[in-house]
Amino acid sequence: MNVIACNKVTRLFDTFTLSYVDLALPEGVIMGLIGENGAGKTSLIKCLLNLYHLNHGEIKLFGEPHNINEAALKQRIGVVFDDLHLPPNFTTRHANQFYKLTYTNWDEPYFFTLVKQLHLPTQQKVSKFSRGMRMKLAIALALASHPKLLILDEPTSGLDPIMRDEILDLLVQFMDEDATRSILFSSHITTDLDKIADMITFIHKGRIRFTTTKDDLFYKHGRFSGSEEEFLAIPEEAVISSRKTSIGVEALVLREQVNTAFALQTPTIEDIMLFYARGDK
Amino acid sequence: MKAIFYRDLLFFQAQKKAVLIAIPLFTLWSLFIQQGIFTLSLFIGFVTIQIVAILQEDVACGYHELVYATLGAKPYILSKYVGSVMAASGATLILLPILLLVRWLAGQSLELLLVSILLSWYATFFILSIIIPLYLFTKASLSQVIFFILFIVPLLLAGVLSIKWDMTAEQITTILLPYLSIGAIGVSLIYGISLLFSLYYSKRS
Repeated sequence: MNVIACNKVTRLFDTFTLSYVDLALPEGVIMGLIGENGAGKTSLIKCLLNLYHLNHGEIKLFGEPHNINEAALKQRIGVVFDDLHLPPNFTTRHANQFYKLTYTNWDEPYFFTLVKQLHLPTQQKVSKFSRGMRMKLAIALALASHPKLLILDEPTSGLDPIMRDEILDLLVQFMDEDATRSILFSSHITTDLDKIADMITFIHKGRIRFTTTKDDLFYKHGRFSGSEEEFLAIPEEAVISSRKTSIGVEALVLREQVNTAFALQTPTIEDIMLFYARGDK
Repeated sequence: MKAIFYRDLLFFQAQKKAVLIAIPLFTLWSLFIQQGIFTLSLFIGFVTIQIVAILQEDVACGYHELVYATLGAKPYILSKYVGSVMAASGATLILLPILLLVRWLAGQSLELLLVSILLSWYATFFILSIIIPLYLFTKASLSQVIFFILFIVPLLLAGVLSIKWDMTAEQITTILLPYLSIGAIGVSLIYGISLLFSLYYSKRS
């Protein structure tokens, strides 16, 4: 079953359009939503959560339309935005109370276990929290209702590598506990997705450029690095995009269409995102 | 909706000290310098400032989006309209014993008390009818300017006119009395339309 199913989702903004987005997130999968700033990741997430209405298309969550019976659907979803979004005078205890009144399956003991595990203070106002503490609290709040779907919008941006690693560990632990859980994880820090994502969706200028499994992504793409003469021997249709460097040419190519004689490197997700975004084939 | 009210209650609780200091000061000011219960009942209108402060904080920290994402927009919008009525009722009940005391000390009529409370309610809900949708759907800076104009201008106008015409609260009451029922219908209508508009527009934004 697809936990998220977007069909030709379109939303017009003043300076930007989310165009005909088709997206399917299967149950039990961590999907990384990648794209540069302003590509449409947050807009798409806000459409999924019915924060923006659609000009065209439909969204189904757990097989049901996202805007009908919304409150019941949202009981099964945990959300983490790029910041905590709680009033400044709230403490961790206040946040617990607020979520307890929001979610019917709120697990208070589990929440405080997470709070302890993440070394979060319980009496301090959230306005005094560091960015890392705010994001850890946001994730603990999203996890403690035991959601079936976790939607994360840039949860690791602005965090140091240690803090990011801690958050990624929590997400892995969350997935390990129940095989029917799914995560949609938007980020432009692609190394995080290298570590945990099963599938990658790349969004560029409001359009989905590809959705594929991470293994497929690495299998299908290769990174060419060599002289201009060598590069010219690669069929044009195999090149996603290229750039000239001081020592020659770097390019992202489709492995299947390139002669095996070329020693292609395995690209990182960041390479793939950058070359697709550049698109100057 | 309980969750949203919990946040509002926390906000009101944080203002408790300020209110406890402000009420006696406002009471003394209205009793000895101003027009007794006619002025003191204006304190009910300060609920508007509290609601606006909550809305402003919600928009600034993105809390309203968090509620939209976890509960949906409808409960949040409803809570603001219902919560305002509850807050105004609460403020009226809290203020009532002090109003009765001031009325007795100033020797003012029961009719004046009723008119004063009603006028405060009308002003409160008229302003909220305009301000709530503004905060929800437009820029906070624009909402702040319009709120300032709506809140301050009538007060200044009332002050200037009462000085210019040298009218007592009782005289103003006599003039306004025939229009009270129309006022009640008008304000209820505007508040209802504002609520329906906010609910409708939240689906289109």
